[in-house]
Amino acid sequence: MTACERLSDRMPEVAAGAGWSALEAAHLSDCADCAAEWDVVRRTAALGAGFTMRQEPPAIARAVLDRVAEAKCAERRRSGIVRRAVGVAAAASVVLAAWVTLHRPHAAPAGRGANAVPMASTGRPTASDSAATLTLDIAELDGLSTAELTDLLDRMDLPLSTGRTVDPSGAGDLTHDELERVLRSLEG
Amino acid sequence: MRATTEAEAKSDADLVAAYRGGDESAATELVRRHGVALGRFLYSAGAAPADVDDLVQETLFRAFRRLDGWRGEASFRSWTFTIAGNLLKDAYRRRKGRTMLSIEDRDIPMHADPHAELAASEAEERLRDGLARLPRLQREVFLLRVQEGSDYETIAAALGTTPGAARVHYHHAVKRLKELVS
Repeated sequence: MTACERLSDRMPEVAAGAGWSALEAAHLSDCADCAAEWDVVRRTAALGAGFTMRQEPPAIARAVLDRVAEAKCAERRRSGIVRRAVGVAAAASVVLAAWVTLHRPHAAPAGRGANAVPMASTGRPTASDSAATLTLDIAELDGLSTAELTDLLDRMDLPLSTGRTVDPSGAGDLTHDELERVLRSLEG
Repeated sequence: MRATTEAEAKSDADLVAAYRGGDESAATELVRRHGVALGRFLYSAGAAPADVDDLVQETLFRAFRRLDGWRGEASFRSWTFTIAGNLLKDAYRRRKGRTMLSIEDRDIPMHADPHAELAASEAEERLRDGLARLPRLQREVFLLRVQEGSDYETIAAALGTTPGAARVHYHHAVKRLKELVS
């Protein structure tokens, strides 16, 4: 370690109040580089020495601790909201899973019929039905030819008005039991 | 008074433990011990004099909020200095790299503000300006060493570096400051 390095290492200590030895003082007066470094160190050590805080420590501590408490409250509120949102999402996914399970047709066995009909939510097959829609297996359709299937589909597409409908006129005169009987007869 | 004396006798680690245990007077003692040094550090590192008090409070707020982050490897003061350094870096970024020393701050008349004592000579401003221009590690190593008298081991623990690297940063800082200031 050179004399300059030794002096450099001592500078913070001397800036804090310790004194130079005679040897160090002599080196400092002879070495311009060390003198320039000492000037920087000495002045930096004194920088802001007159600083005082506007408020007393208890007031600062009070303000700081109030802010910390406030921040912790806000954090708890935020995490509460997140927890509730996660709970709602979990509940919703359970309900959705249950709904899908209850409304899903029985799983088709391997090699199910070629005439599985895609069903949209309306219950009618549509061109836009995708693989994501529910499918129903109708084993009775397996034996039909293409022409027979087309004919069946055409008939299914007929508007309701062309089929058998109930004439409700006069139904208002029936008693409750009579209405029940009529409805049971319609349902077969 | 007795409580104050008891608190004064405790180490920083004891005070932190006491605060965690619900003793708010421990927090007051920590503020009393380190508030002024924090202010000096922030001022020396380039904070505008008018902002120093707010920055001290913000630093202490961050420190008390994240007390779990202090594991005692570095001194409590060095740890708060690194938080203050981060704060200054954020402020510096928000100001898009402009130096934090402003003409207005330098022109505050000596009697207009309690911080007037901080408004120093042109030479002092040149020194602060030089410190503000240093890379962050160089500046913090230099200030911890010169103002706090910390050894390189303590500085290295506080700043997450090695004592050897801290020594190198210190010498680079000295070299640059000599060029910038003289």
